Amino acid sequence: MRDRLALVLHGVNVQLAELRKLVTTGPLFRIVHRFREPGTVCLPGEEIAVVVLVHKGREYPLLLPLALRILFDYLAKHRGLPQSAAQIEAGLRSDSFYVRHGANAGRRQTRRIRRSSVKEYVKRIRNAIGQAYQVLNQSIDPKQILISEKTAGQESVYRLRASVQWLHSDVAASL
Amino acid sequence: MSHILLVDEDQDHSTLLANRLRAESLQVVTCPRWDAAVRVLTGTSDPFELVVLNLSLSPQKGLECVRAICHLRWNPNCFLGPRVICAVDHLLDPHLELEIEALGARVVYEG
Repeated sequence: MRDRLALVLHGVNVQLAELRKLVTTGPLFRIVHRFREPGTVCLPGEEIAVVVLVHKGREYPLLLPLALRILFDYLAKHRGLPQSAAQIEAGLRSDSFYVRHGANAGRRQTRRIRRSSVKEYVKRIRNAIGQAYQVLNQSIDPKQILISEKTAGQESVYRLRASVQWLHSDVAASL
Repeated sequence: MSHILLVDEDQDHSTLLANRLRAESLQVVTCPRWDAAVRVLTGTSDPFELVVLNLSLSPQKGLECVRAICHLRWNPNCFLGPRVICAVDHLLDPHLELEIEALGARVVYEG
């Protein structure tokens, strides 16, 4: 009986290890940038084409409109720095990657993300993450991934707790 | 310390497995009845991380329990539902196994 149970114990330990990893590093997302200029990576003019949740080697695209893809990419790039809505708005306005977003395709695709809309956008991103996990039948709280915390002054700061990879593509067809 | 619920109708098997899990410094609560498992899960403020169900004796009843537990996680008050492992000592009907996997639980064969 002792040997028979070894596989069950192994399964339990694997599940618990996966939970620990998820709690400490968060899930893995892939962000695909397209329309890059050959020989360059992550320069202004590229488009954030899609955000994908990677779970057990499989990819699940988050259904995010333009403004949410921009915000997600920004939070992913600054995930070591919790930022308030005002900081996020300022960061997006001053970063030429977002100002010239999509320009390599001939026309810029930009959205003005105001500080007053950040809270709602964060909620929508969490909903999209929750939907992806619902498809996967996984019990993950999106609020544990896109975290909001109160500062001493009662201002909310936002932070993405996740591992992120960026993939770059010259054209859409090669995605 | 990890908090595990072990749902197992087979008393001897339950005791053996619980002892093995406790030997690995895991905190285990045992429950011998399918219909009580959800009540145990929802009746505590200390959330369980993992549920281990022994499906060897009555796989169909076990499936209903797995379904109820997996649906718990979509309750807004209980979003972080536990992960679920189904232990069996014989090959399951493939449809049943698919159903369990589709719910997000994992099947582990003993021996």
